[in-house]
Amino acid sequence: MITGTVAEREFTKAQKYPIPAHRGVWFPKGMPDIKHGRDRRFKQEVNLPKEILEGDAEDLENVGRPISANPRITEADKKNDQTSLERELPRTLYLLLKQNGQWKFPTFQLENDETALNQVAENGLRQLGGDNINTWSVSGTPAAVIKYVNGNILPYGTSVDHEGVSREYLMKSHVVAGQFVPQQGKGVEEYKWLVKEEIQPLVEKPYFDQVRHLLAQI
Amino acid sequence: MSFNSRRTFSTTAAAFKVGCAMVKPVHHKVKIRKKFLSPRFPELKIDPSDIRSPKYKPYLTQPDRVKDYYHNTLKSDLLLVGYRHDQVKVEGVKRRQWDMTSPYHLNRPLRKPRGQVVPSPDIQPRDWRNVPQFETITLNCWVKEAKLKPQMAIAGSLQLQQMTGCKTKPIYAKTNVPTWKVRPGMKMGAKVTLAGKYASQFLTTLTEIVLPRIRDFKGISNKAGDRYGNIAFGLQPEHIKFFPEIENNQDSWPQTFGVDITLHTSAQTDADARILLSALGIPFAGTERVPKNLLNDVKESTIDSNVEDVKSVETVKAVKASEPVS
Repeated sequence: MITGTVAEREFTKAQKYPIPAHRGVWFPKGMPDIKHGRDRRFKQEVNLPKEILEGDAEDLENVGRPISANPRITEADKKNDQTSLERELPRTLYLLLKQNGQWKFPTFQLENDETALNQVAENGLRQLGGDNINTWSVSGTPAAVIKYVNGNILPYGTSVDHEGVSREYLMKSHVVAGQFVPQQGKGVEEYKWLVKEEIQPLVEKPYFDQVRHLLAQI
Repeated sequence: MSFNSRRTFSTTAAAFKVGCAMVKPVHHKVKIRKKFLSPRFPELKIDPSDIRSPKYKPYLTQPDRVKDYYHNTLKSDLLLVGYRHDQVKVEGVKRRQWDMTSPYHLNRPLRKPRGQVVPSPDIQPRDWRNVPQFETITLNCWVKEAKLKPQMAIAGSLQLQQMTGCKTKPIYAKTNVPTWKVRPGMKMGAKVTLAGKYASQFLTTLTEIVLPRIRDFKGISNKAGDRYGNIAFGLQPEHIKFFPEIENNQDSWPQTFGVDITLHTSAQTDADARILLSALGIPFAGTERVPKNLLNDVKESTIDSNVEDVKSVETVKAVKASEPVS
């Protein structure tokens, strides 16, 4: 039966498990006393599996070549290239843009009430970053809403009977493939792909307080 | 004196006794664990989840990609996908009162629910506590040939063990069907319930190796499901050969047996379960029928046109990164 990981199977194969007692068989070191696959009379011996190093890892013709994993630290990590999507592989990256001298998630104006919010977000992203990016919008429901009064963010739980309240809806979508290539004349000064901890010092504190709970830790 | 000390209805006997304890006898109520008082075995006082404890058992021994993907990406997405404003609770079909036309209705157990035997649970509005989660897989292998050749049931059981790596339980015939030559108590095959890393491993094998290699496989029927979020489908004997555990040792498997697979989720409806399972890589096909009682689960004042959109199955794709767009 093939069960467990490759490492578990290698470990099991390397062990020398004791032979159980049989009637009519003479054991030179006495009758075995086996509990849970271990002879209780002796100290347990654990054999670590030897690494298989046969052949060249680069030799693609050799089926039995040793497996070598690709590095988890990429070129972009070494150069700290924050515009690359090939960085921080185990983490979730978020796209931040510098528009009008301010770092924020990509923001678009809602022209009419006919178009769905997620459609507006998808179309706007294409205009800023070109058609070369393939995204999938998760839902038509916004993940959050940020309310502004006279350009200042209203904290959560504040009543909103003010006249001049403007709202920003945060729509979630995933990048499936492609690249964000900033288009000329669309007001994108800079762009970065960042993890949660890198977003905090970049954006303003009231803005980060509004989106902190939405960002993935991993 | 004897007259005064006689027990009356207004007093208790204990009040006249000398030396009665004023301290409440707590030793009846407080359980004393001797291992915490005794200095003899200090390691027994350590919590079993601590690696120094003799009871310690490691359980995080290998990465679980299905679980990681669910908690890091899928859970928050499913909350958004399933969420609708002003959703209200949909009452399940409950047991009914008797109409009391007969005196014998008094103290009778309640009537059966309309159209079913057991009551169905209420469907709560989506919130962060009831996001559907993939729980277990049940594999059931009923070997028809076992009624004439009982050893075939053992072969079916072995096949399940080979596929899953878990110990199986035998299943027995329950009814007497003379035309099929089935009698109660005949061993007819085996079943196994997978959870945790075994379930994740099996699901990965199924979605990445087995299902893509089935030529005529379009997807699991959208009509499958038990109404409460558990989806079942079957694999034919020739499909079982695609499992790598069977395929790599074909000489030992001259005959394979079909298996019924049930995917158990914590979803409240089948539609929610299909959204979750399609995100985990299981395709669905065919027309989908939404039960009538689920169509009016939004407050009447806020009914909008996109109710049907939300009900349709959406496929969550593998993701590299995500970005909220404001």
